[in-house]
Amino acid sequence: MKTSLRAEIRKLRYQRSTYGIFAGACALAVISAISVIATSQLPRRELLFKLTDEATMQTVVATTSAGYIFALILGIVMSTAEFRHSTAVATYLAQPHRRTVMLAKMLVAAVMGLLVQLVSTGVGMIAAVLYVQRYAHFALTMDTYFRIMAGSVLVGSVLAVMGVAVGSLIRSQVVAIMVSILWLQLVEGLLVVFADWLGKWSIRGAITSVLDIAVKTGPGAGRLDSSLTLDQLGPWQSMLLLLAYGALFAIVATVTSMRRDVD
Amino acid sequence: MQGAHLRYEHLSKHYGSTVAVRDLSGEIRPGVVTGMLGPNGAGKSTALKCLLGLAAPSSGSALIDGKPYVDVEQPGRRIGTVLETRGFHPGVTGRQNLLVLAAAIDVDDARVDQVLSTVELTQAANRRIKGYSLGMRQRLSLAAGLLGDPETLVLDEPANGLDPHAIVWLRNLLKSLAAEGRTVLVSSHQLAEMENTVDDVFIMDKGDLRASGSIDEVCAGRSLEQAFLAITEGGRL
Repeated sequence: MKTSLRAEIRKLRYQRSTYGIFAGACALAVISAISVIATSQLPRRELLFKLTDEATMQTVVATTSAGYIFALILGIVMSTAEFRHSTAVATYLAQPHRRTVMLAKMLVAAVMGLLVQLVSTGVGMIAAVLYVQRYAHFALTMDTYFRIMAGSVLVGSVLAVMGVAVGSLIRSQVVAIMVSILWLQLVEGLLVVFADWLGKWSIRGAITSVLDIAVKTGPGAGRLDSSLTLDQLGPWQSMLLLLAYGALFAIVATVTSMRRDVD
Repeated sequence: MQGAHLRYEHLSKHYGSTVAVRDLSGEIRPGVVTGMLGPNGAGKSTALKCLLGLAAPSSGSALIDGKPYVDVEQPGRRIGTVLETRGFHPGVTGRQNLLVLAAAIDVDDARVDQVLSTVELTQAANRRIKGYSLGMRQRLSLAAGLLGDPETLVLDEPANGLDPHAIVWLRNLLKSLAAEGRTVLVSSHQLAEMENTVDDVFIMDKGDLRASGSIDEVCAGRSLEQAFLAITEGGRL
């Protein structure tokens, strides 16, 4: 296990895509937060977003966790790059116990997903605080920042593990990324339109709740996520749901990888 | 150094209704170079993949010292492999690709520079793989196969893309490794080159083992090419 972990860490260290993913996550976090602040200054949005309102400020800070999609992509790339470049052959020759390889990948992905969110959310928060000073005083307690950061790193960690699982099930990198993003951004949103009760059980609903966007802002205020429903699980329940999804994906991917031939 | 005994026991591998290998049995001895010869689609690569745990046999077994690959202790160090299907990350340098492998098989990083020097890739070690020629990639594959100083080497078409000097170097390397007592199994369809390299042969065609034994027994006074054509369907053309 130790050798597999070291190999996985080296792969990420040497591949330029890793640094691109970190940069992309930071850029998305900053753009998301600043676009919320900027649009709040448009006259017609004044009633929806008031930067003097604590709940709105909290929403602004929560949007800095938007880079989680890059944590998912990181996990997908960790798996699919092995098949895209046929390095899976070398990986499985070095460690023929496929369960060990999958576990090592998922452990490294969990830590890297956490780091992606730690860095991007941190950068986004700094940018948001600096930007908002132009319009209002950002008066949030440190507890709020920590709570959002904790939710963000947990989401990043679980999504990166899910990414590894998705990438080992759908070995085409482009298809795996497209399917994952479409599922999160479109399919789950559509499902909620037809069956509102599904929202709280969806991956995106769980992410939103863990990030605590809707719970604190309440109905109508600062709602940024179309998948939100008023009927949501609490943050702790959503956290467990998200972990359960991560575990389910991990088990299915591990079992499947043990049965498939390596080309 | 004592290489491993490799053994196929009634190995068959099917992909749906297509039979890639049918009832393959035989033993590969240490201390000699064994060639697995056959035309494209003969089942050579599939037989190697089954031996290396990359493909699950449909029936029968492929064993290394009596064990499947997955049960061999430190297989990445003990069994060196050069496979056509083995890839390298194109955006990463040759040296970094080997450093990943060194970490995976628990070999000291200093060994990476040694094997790069052995295959004469030191100058290109810090270049990204996407800038490598076919021959350079093949030499990097050989470096990867030698990284763990393995007692057994399994090579699939190792001479592909190599220039004549490198082919002579490879031939001498394989013979010297076998002379040290290591097991060397080479799959190839380059008969002229194999005739100069191998001691034992397995001749496969369309998934079946058509002949096996020492090259002298199999050739029986003919050239390897003549024997091969007579044994496989090429002889009927």
